[in-house]
Order: sequence, then C-alpha cells, then structure tokens
Amino acid sequence: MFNHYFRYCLFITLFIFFSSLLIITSNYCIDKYNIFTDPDYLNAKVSINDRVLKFNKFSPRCREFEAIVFGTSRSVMYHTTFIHEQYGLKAYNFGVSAESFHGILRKLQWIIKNHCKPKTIFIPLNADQLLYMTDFSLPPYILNRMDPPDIVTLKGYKSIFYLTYVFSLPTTKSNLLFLFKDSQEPIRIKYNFLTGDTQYLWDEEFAIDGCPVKIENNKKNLKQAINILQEIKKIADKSGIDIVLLWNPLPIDYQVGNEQILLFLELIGPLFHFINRIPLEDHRLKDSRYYYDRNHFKESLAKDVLLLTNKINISLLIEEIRLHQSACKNARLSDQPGIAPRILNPLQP
Amino acid sequence: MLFNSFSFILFFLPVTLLGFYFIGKRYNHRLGIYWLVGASLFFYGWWNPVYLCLLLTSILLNYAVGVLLGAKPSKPILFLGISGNLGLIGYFKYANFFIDNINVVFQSDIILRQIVLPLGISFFIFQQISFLIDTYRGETKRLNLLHYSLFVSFFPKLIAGPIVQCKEMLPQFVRNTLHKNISEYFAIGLTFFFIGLFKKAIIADGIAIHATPVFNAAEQGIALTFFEAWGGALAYSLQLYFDFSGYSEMAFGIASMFGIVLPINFDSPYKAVNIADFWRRWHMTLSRFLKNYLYIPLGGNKKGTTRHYLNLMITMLIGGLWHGAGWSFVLWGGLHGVYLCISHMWGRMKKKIFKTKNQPSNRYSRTAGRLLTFFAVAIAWVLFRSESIEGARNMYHGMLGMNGFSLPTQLDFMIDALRSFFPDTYIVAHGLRSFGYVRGVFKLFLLLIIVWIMPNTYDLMKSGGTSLNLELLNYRTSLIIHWKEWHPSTTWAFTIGMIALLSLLSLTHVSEFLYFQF
Repeated sequence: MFNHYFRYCLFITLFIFFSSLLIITSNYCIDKYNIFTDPDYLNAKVSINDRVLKFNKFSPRCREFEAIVFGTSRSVMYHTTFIHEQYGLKAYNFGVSAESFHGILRKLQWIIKNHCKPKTIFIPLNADQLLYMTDFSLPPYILNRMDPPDIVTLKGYKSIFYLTYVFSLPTTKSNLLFLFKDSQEPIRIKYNFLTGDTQYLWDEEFAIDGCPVKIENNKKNLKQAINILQEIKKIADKSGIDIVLLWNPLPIDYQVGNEQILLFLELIGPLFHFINRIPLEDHRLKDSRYYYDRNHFKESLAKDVLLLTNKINISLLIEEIRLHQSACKNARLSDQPGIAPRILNPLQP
Repeated sequence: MLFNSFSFILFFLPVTLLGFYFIGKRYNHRLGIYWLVGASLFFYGWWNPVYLCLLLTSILLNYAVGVLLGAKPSKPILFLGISGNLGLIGYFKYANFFIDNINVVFQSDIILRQIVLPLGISFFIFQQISFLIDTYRGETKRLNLLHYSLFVSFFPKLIAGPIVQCKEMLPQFVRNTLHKNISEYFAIGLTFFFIGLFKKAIIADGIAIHATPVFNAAEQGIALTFFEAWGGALAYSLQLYFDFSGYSEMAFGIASMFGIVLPINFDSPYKAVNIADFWRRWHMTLSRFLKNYLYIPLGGNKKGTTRHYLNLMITMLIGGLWHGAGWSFVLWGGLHGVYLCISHMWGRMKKKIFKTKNQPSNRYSRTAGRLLTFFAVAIAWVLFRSESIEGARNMYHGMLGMNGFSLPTQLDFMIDALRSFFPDTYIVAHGLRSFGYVRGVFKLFLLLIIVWIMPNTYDLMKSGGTSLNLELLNYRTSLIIHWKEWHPSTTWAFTIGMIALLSLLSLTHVSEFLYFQF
C-alpha cells in the first residue's frame, strides 16, 4: 500500500497543505496593508485592489455623498476638497486603477439601486480612452479585478476577496519584505479610503514632444464606448443626476494623438454638450514637472480642470484638438523632424 | 472551467478522481467510464450549458455515421459526415469572417448576429473527422457509444487538444488495469500537472506583461522603436511557448491521473534545427492530422517538385485558417508554407551539390539552424498575435528599425559610438525605462536559455511509470544537457511541492490559455 509513489504523492499533498496554512496564517497576522483591521488609510508600495476597498468603505456611507468622481487612476487627482471648493458638494472619489466605461456603468447602476442619489457625478475622459476599453493586459499582481457591483452578486464575495488576499504571491512577497527590509522600500501610493482621495509619491522625468509621432486612427471600441455612455446618461437623467464631463489634462501629444477621439467627442457632443478642460495652449501640458509620469498628471492640473471658467462646449474642444493636430501635420511637412520614440508603459492608467 | 483555477484544482478534479476510482473499484469499470463521461460533459457545460447540446448532437451524429461506415465503407457517407463536421465548424468559426469579406468586396452591409465560438470546437470536430476517415479505412475497431463519447469528450483534452485518434485511446479505455496502480498514476500525473501549472501561471503570465503592451501599441498605430518591437515579439514567442507547453503538460498530467496516456503534443519546438523539424515538435497532433488527412491525400511529395510545394502551401494555409478566422492567420500559415518550401529547396540543393542530407551534421550547423528557425518562427508569430494586418505591419516596421532606436538609460555611454556608425538613424537613450527594459531583457535571456538547453518534462519523466507505459509514447529524447531523471524521491517531491505552491499562490489572477481561442 505505502509504496514509494504513494509516499511521494503524500509528501507533495502535505507539503502544499501545511505551507499554505503557514502562508495564510502569517499573511493574516502580518497584514501589512491593514486589510483585516483598519484599511481607511493605506501606504502602499504597489497598487492594490482599490475597487474592493473603496467599495467596502463607500457602500455603507453612500447616502452621505452629494457627488461622485468616477474614472481611472488619473481621476483620483480630482480630490474631494477641490470638488467642495468649486461646487460646494461633499464628494467621494471612486477613481480606480484601469477603470472602464463598463465599470462606471456598473457602479452607477449599483448606486441607483441602493438609493444613494448623488446630485452630480463626474466622469473624466481620456484622449486615449478607446485604448482602454478592455482589460486583458492588466498586470497580474493586482488582486481580484472584478468590479464590486459584479462580485457582490456572488455569494460570499468578501470571503473570496480576503482569501485571495491572504493566499497570493504579491501579498506574501510584500509581507516578507515588510518583515525583513521594509525601510528600504519607498512607499508609492497613499490611499484615503474614507474620501477616495489618493496621493502618488513618485516623480518620473520624461520628455513631452509638442506633437505626437503619428496621429492614430483606430476605430476599435468606439461604438462600445458610445453605447455605454448613452446608457450612463439615460440612467442619470432618469434619476435626476447631473453629469459633469472632465477632459483629463494629459501631456499635449497624448491629447491630440488620436483621430478617432474627435469622432468620439462629436458623437457625445449632443448628449452632454459641455466639458471641463485646460486650454490646449497651456504651457503646463508640455512640462513634465506637472506630471508624476507620462500617464498621470498632478493635483494642480486636476484642480484647474474643475474651474468653472474652464467649462466649454464640446465642439470647442474638438476645434482646439483639430487646430493642434493640423499645426502638427504642417510642422511635420515643413521640417520633417526625427521620429521620437514613444515610451511604453505596461501598466494601464 | 480553467485548469489553472481554484474551482478546477480544489473541487472538480478531486471529486472526479474520487468518483472515478471509487465507482471503478467498488462497482465496475464500465460505471467508472460512465462517471468520467458525465464529469467531462459537466466540465464542458460549466462554460456554456447551451453548447453542451451541440457537443452531444455532434457526438451522436458522428457515432451514427461511424457505425454506418463500419458496417459498409461508403464514400458518399464519408463525404456527408465530413461535410457535416466542416459545415458546423464553418458556421460557428468562419461565418462572420466570410460575411465581413463579402461586405468588403461587394460594398454590402450584410450583418450576421454575433456568433459565440463554442469552446474547443476545432479540436472535437477534427477528432471526429479523423474517426470517420479511420473507420472508412478500416483502421478503427468497432466501439460502443460510451467509449466513443469518452473519446470525444474526455475533459483533459476537450478544450485545447491534443487531437487524439481513436486507435490510440480506445485500447486504454477498455484496459482492465485502469483502476490499479493508482498511486503511480497519481505521482506521474501530479508531477506533470504542477510543472505545467508553473509554466503557465508563473512563466507565461509573467512574460505576458512585456508582450501585451507592445502589441496593443502596434494595434493603436504607435511607432515602436527597434528594441521595443523585438522585445515584444520575443516576449510573445516565449509566452506562447510556455503557455501551450504548460497546457499540454497539465492535460497530460490530468489524463495520467486517470491512468490514460495522451499523445505528446509539444516537444521542445524551439530546439528545432529547421522549420520541418519545428512542425514535428509544435502542436504535434495537429501536424499529424494535417499530414495524414490533408497533405498525404493531396499527394504529399510523390507527385513532383512543384506539386510538393503546392501541397505544402495548401496544408499550411489551411493550418493557419484552422487557428482563427482572420487574414493574419492565413498569412501566418502562408509564411510557414513559404518557410517549408525554402527549407525543402535548400535540402534538395544540399543533396545535389554537397551530397549531404538536410539535417545539420555538426554542432555549429545545428546551432545556426536552431537560431535561424527560432527567429523565423518569432517573426511569423507577429502575424499570429496581431489583431489586424495593420498592427502586424506596425510591428514589422519597428522590428526593421524604421522607427529608430531607443536604448535604456543604462546604455547612455554607447550612444555616440552608435550614432557614428548609423548617422542617419534616430537614436536616443531615454526610452524603454518604464517598459521595464532591463528586467524584461534579463527574463528573455533566461527563458531562451531554458528553452534551448534545458531538458523538457518528458525528458525528465521518461523513466517514470512502468504501469502507465510511458515508453509507448515513443518519445525521442532531445537532451542537450543531461539532467537527473525523475523518480519518486523526497528531493523530487519537495521540488514539485515548491513549484506547486508558487503556482497556486499566483492563481489570484486567472488568465485563459492562449490556445483556448482556437
């Protein structure tokens, strides 16, 4: 009965079982991110599942908030204090890493269903929005990427979330580093889950070209994006919620680098009419000091986007982009500059 | 249900194994097979219960045609059977592609509703076609519906192969020793399964973050520089390698746990010394299918040189189309067809001029052949991976250096020298840092060393498992460095335990196997 094959299998099974137990126990005890105790404020070295943690904090208090900011990791820069200063509304920032329109729709549906009734929602748009409608290239270390409104329909989603947290390689690695050399590792993100505000603590240097390498023209995801935005607008109108569109102040070459975004803006123009943006001739859009990295702008730019003086008709934004694009095309025709490389970032915004 | 998910590893597999052995030992072997068929159908239905009806109907109809052919071989019945199968795959896989092309050519606006591709349809349809042809040729023994259902639906190979033949599976299903030597089956199966899981969860998913953003950027028309484009192409070549290799070994391991040996599907293809050798090692059961049921019936190499090349091209174009309904897959197959033709021409020329065989004779020519084959294959993978021809074109632009060169900041000191050599080329040293260049390059080199010189899992395992008759696999060793072969020792158990633990810890992000889409 107990031949060497049997002993081999038994050893592997017991090894996995007891090691797993040890890992789960130690991750639970160390719990560097205070997930099991108090995750209101979190100083993290990696991006963690901000969806679940924000949702957990937001859901019991959702009726307190008069405004909600949706969007990607870029949108977390629209701090709730800025919203209060400019609009006098108590806001929650629900910006999460790599957010999609579908994610916004699902969250809004949940909010309506649970009678939370904010007066205003802010939807920041990105010039490269159409690139990020899918999530197949998400980095694997971000735990459990499903949107909470989707996973709460699963029985015991919290247990799934906590189990994946205590039994995962990134958590184990992070906790081990915490035990042995924590002080060596710089903190990269500070979360405040009570308001949803986030601070980034990195600062990369990079060059901003005045013009994009190439004006892209990719129709992918356009139809899908418009359909979801129409649905969001329909739900908001029905519930008496105002929508404020924000045009994220990305580096200028990003803002004008896509032909299809013009079509996208043209299609949403009749739906929303207005958008807040920083004028494209603003020098800060070419200055990397106003950015954490190529994908993430700083608070000072975000604050200015919210200014009422920066609210314009969408058709004017289209005009600004078009003018800038043609200036770039003319410049290229006249002096044929060398082709500058575009820096790729494997992490989506 | 994915092999690399907790629901499969912790619930489905243990329950199916326990049920199979309990029923088989306690009652009888036949009931055990019933259980296995039931579990396989449940596995398929988990994804989309509606398509379970499609699988069942397909099994029943093909079985009926098989019975007719077994009773009296008839060409019209065979033709009907094959046409039915091709019609099914044609509708589900190629209808939209066909309509899109009609719309482009005739400027029409025909809209077909979105058809969801049934999981694994390309695999179970090809298996059934091979069954019908083998039955017509009298190469398959008469089998009952239960065994036929298991032959088609056996869950370890249902979704992404290998494409098995009836004659290699049936003798194993009827073997009365299936419920004996369980611990041996388990030991071998667990080892294969966890090595495969490690390849998928740690290696393939780990390298994917260096490939996906590059191909996405190419799809968006972003101008990729030389090293970015090559980095993406090589990273994808390795991602696909470890993904498919991992899947194949997991499937082999799971089948082994039931005492069933699946044919080898993956034999270190990047060690191939020429392109024909590559196709003898990559997706071996698909190559076997295409060779036996398409290339040879077309005449193979027996009808003159021109016809030989034409047959190769047809086979590879259809092989390409099998992988997906898109022109990029057709071009990918065509490119491999061209590679094969060149390889055969070169072989003929060598034979004529140097009076030598096509196989490289010494270490240096083998290394050169291996490198050439690898880079040719990697170049072709760009077409395979790109979502559009435009995306592939952008990748090739970058790989040819037509968008300039950017180097990591660590190589600042080389800039002046490079500029003096290439005065007309745009070279800068500020790019790529955020692409994780240094880490990515290190990973690429490490993985290339692994695929080129390390033994593969079958090499390690070939001495294990006398009851499973692993020697029946007729596996030819491709060892470049010698390695201690597997045996059920504590050292091996500890190693596999560690590998398993790391893989399980990485399952918080579950990703599909790349070959599931076919």
